[in-house]
Parts: sequence; structure tokens; C-alpha cells
Amino acid sequence: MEKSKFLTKTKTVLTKVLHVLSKIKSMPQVHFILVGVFLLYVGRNIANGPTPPSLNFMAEVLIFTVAALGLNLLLGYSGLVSLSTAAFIGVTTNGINILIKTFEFSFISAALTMLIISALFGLIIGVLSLQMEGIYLAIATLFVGYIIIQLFTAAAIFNNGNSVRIGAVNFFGEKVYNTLLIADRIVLYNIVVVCLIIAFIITYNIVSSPSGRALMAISRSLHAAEAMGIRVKKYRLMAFVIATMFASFAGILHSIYFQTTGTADKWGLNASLIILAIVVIGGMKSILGMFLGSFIIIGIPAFYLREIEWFKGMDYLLTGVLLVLVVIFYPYGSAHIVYDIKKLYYKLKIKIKQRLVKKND
Amino acid sequence: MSFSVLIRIFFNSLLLGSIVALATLGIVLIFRTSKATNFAQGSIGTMNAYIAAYFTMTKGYNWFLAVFIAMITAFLTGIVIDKLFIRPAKKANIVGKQILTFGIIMILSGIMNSERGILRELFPSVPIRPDSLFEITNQISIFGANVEINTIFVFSVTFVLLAIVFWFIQKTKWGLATRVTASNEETARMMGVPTKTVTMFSWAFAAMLGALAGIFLSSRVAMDPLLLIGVQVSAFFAGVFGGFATFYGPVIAAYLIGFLINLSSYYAITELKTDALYAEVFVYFMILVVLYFKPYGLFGKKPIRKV
Repeated sequence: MEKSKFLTKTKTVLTKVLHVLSKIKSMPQVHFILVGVFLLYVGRNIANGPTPPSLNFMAEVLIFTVAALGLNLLLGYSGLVSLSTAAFIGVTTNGINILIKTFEFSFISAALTMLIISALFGLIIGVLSLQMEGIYLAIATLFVGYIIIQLFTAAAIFNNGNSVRIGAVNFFGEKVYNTLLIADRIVLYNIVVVCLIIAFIITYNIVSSPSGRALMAISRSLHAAEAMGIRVKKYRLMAFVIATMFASFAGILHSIYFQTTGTADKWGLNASLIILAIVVIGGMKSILGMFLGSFIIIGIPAFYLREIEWFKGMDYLLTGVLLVLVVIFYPYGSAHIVYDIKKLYYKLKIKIKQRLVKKND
Repeated sequence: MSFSVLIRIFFNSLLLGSIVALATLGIVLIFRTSKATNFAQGSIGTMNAYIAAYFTMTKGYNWFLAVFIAMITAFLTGIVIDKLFIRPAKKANIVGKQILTFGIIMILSGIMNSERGILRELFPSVPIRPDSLFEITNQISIFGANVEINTIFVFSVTFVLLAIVFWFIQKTKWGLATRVTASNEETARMMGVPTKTVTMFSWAFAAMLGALAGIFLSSRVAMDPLLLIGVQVSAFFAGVFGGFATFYGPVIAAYLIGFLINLSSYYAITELKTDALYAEVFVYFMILVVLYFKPYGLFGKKPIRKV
């Protein structure tokens, strides 16, 4: 009697635990953290491998992922294009450099200040976006990015567009992390990964909040959203401010890991187009897809194509071919490859089942 | 500022303005007919300008013959790009097409930086400077200002070409087809307009305009795979400033921007003793302010859209 009671009790507890586990399993946050753990593992393996500079490529992939997350909010969830994302990464790295060297800020306070300043920049573009749309808005943001890059090149305070070292980063207390030391570099990489996970979770929360839903409604149909009583202007401004802050966050990560400002040319139209390509290739409205897209565009040429003898010096061309192929065959982003694989799996399953049934007959 | 200086600035900006106008017209043509923002216009032009340079410098051909060959290759490039990349990507949206043209940039610059076989001879890795039809020393005096013959030649070629293009678009049957495709592709197709052919030829024609811009510019600055990047950015700005809705607006805006930048650069260097880049920044900033109040460009109209 006692035993059966105990058994039923354990059974109920077990089912409850399993239920909770399955709930946790389906939570997107858990997926993000799992991806983060995987990235930490990959980073450790690369750092101990034969060619430590490839850790730099991995960090670049992650930094562009963060910038792409912001642009994804803009493009995927509200249908607005920005061609000045990379310029704001440059604004942040240069701003941190000046704040630390000239005004003697600590790293954390410099980073926070630059986040706020970038938000103001985002507000400026947002105000422009209230008037324009489509290609006009895209080129207007290109204007802003171009003006910023030209200012970097012209002004002596920005070192005339040359890249300078910001110097070792000091977060709290006395400990200083220098990217030139391999032992410190892996720590910095881990910090970047943690920040990426935080960015993932923030994006998810924004998207699933009422504001995110409003943005989505605007992206589908501006007039319908307006008719539903959504204040379009407010949300457009918000989208631009958030996207620019994400770009600024990417800039902060760049100055944490690489500890340089980067040349002005690095943050030009080309880099902005790369970020745009990441969003399109990764799949709009997909969060983990941004990492996939970033890896396809920056990671695959850096890690694989350069290694193969026959492809030497052609990595740029092959990336272009890859880009074109993905746009032609997956116009909604490579995140949809997963669905196709699932479809194929089910098709095969049904076919095998039919075969088995035929055999039995 | 004396009158002769003003004349000199005016003629200098005619050269750059013509180059930008050619590039802009190509971009507008493609945007109107295939709804794609063509970032690859500069790369296509540069590649074919290299071909012209190869025939004049290495093979020693006549300038006109070399340009003619480059025009043919540009025509073919445009058709290949439309057939191979743009048409299969029917499902891609407008941003997807932007990325497609970015992919084309990557492919073309991959070809230009390649070091295999004939590509190495066609696209040398050191910057080259092909001869123009008229030497830089070949100058005439207009109102006391020395003006290069090359500038006048470039401007007159551009002017004649643009006049032909506008006549073609406004007066001929094919031009009508282009305009119809530009205004509404679906309806045009239903009415029996061969929109596919129109799109294909507009890509080919845009590539030719880009190549001509590249050839004109290559006599001024040393040639490398990034030759037309600056021109292309200016061309986009001209397109937006003039408005994509018309074909003539961007062309006028291209000359206007060229003149304003040259004038303010001169003022910045001689009067304010600062970098000419600040003048460019100032002009672009002012254009941005104008665009805030006229968001569809100087000559543009607000597109009417069904809800």
C-alpha cells in the first residue's frame, strides 16, 4: 500500500519535472545561452589551436552579429533601411578613445556616455525617417554615414581616420586586460560572448514586448497600423534609437576586444552593406539567424576558404557568389534552411513509412 | 573671387558633374525598371574602364576603338548580370536586391583582384593611368581662365549622350516601353510590353554609362579597382537630391552638387584655410537639410500608393 502511494507520488513529481524541463527547453533564452556556451567552447579550442589570430575573426563575427541584431530590429521588424550602421560603430570606438585619452574617463563610464550619444544620433536619423521612406531614407542614412566618415578623415582629433590603439581595458579595480597577450585575449573573447548573449536576450525581449509587436504591425502595413491606433512616429524614432544603440554596443565590444578605433574606411559604406547583408542572409525577424549570417559572410571566408590552396586570393569572389546564391534561393534568409531540412526529413519519413506498408502488404 | 576663377571652377565642376551624371542616370534607369538599388554600378564601370585601358595601353589601339570595345563588353556585362543574377531573384524584395548587387560588387572586385592568366594582364595590381584623348596640357583660354580641352570634350559627349537618351525615352516606342515599365511593371506586362527585354537593356545601357564614366575619370586619377566608389556615392546623393521620380532631375542635381562642392572647397581652402573635406561635409549637410523639407528630391513628387 505504502509502496504504490510512493510510486504514484514520484510519478507525479517526475511528470512535473519533465513538464518544467520541456518548458525550459522551448524557452528561447535557453537557446541563446546554449549557443553562448558553444561559442565559449569554440573560442577555447581556437585559442589553444595552431593559429591564434583566428580568434580575432571569431570575435569580429560576434561583433558584427551584435550590430546586425540592431539593424534586424529596424529592417525586419519595422521595414526601415539604414546604411550608416557601421559609421556608428566607428563613432563609438573613436568616442571612447577620445573620452579615455583626453577627458580621462574610466572605460565603463566612457562606454555608457557613448551609448547615450549614439542614441542622440539615432534620434537625428529617426527624425529624418519621419519624412522619407524607401530608397530616399536609405540614401539619407548613407548621407549621414558619409558625413561622419569624412569628418573622421578630416579632423585631427580623430587622428585623420587612422586607427589608433585605445590601450588596455580596465573594467573594475586594478586588473588590466590587454588584447596583445594571448592569455588576456581569451578572457576578452569570453566577455564578448557574454555580451552577445545579453544582446540576444534584450532583442528577444524587445521583439516580444508590446512595442515590438507595434513595430511588426508597422512593417506589415503602415496605414493599417495607423488605423489601429499605433503611433507610427513614436515607434519609428524608437526603432532608430535602439538600432543605433546596438551599433554602439558593437563599437564598445570592438574597443573591448580589438582595443583599436579602426580606420575610417573600415566603417564606410562597405561595412554597412556587410551588416545589411548579414541581416538579409541570416533572415529577417530571426535572432539566431544573425549569427548564422555573420558566420557565412565573415567567418566562412576567414576560416575555410583561405585555407584551401586553389581558392587563394579568391575568398572575396566566393563570398559574393555565396551571397548571390543565398539571395536567389533563400530570399527570406538562410534561417529558412532549417525549415527546408525539416520538410525534407518529414517527406523522407512518410516515404519510408509508405515503403514499409507496401512491404507488409 | 574674380570672374576667371569662377569660370574655372564652373568648368572643373562640369567634368566631375558629367561623370557623376552618367553614373546617376544608370542608377536611376535600373532603379526605375527593376526596382533595385544598384550598388554595383561603380564596379561594373571600373571593370570595363580597365578593358578600355588595356586596349589603349598594352595593345596600343586607337582611343575610339578601345572605347568602342569597352562599350561592347559593358553591354554584355549588363546582359549577363541581368540574366544570371537579377532575373532568377524574382522572389527577393527590394533590400534583397540591394544585397544581390553587393554580392555582384564582391564578385567583380574578386575578378579585378585576381592574379590568374589573362586577368592579371587585364587588371594590373598597380594603379595605372591610361592616356586620355586630349593631353592635360592641351588648354584654351575662356574669359581669362585656362580650360582643358578634355573637360569640354567630356562635357559635350555627355551632353549629346544625355540628349539622345532623353529623346529616346520620350519619343521612341522603346522609350515608351521603358517609361511604362518604370511606372508599373505588372500592368505593363499585361499590356504586352516586353518588360523582361526592357529590364535587360536598361541593365546593359546602365553598364555602358558606368563604363563611360569610368573611362572619363581614369584620365584624371590613377586607376584601381575602387576607382568609381566616390563617384557612385555622389551619384546616389544626386539621385536622391534630384528625385528618382524623373530622369532629368538626378542629372541636374549631379551638376549642381559638383558645382557647389567645388565652389565651397575653393572658398574653404583659400579663405578659411581649412581642409576641403569640411566643405564637402558642409554641402552634404545642407543637402540633407533640404531633403528634410523636400523628402522626394528637388524635382520629385510623392508617389501615390494604394492602401
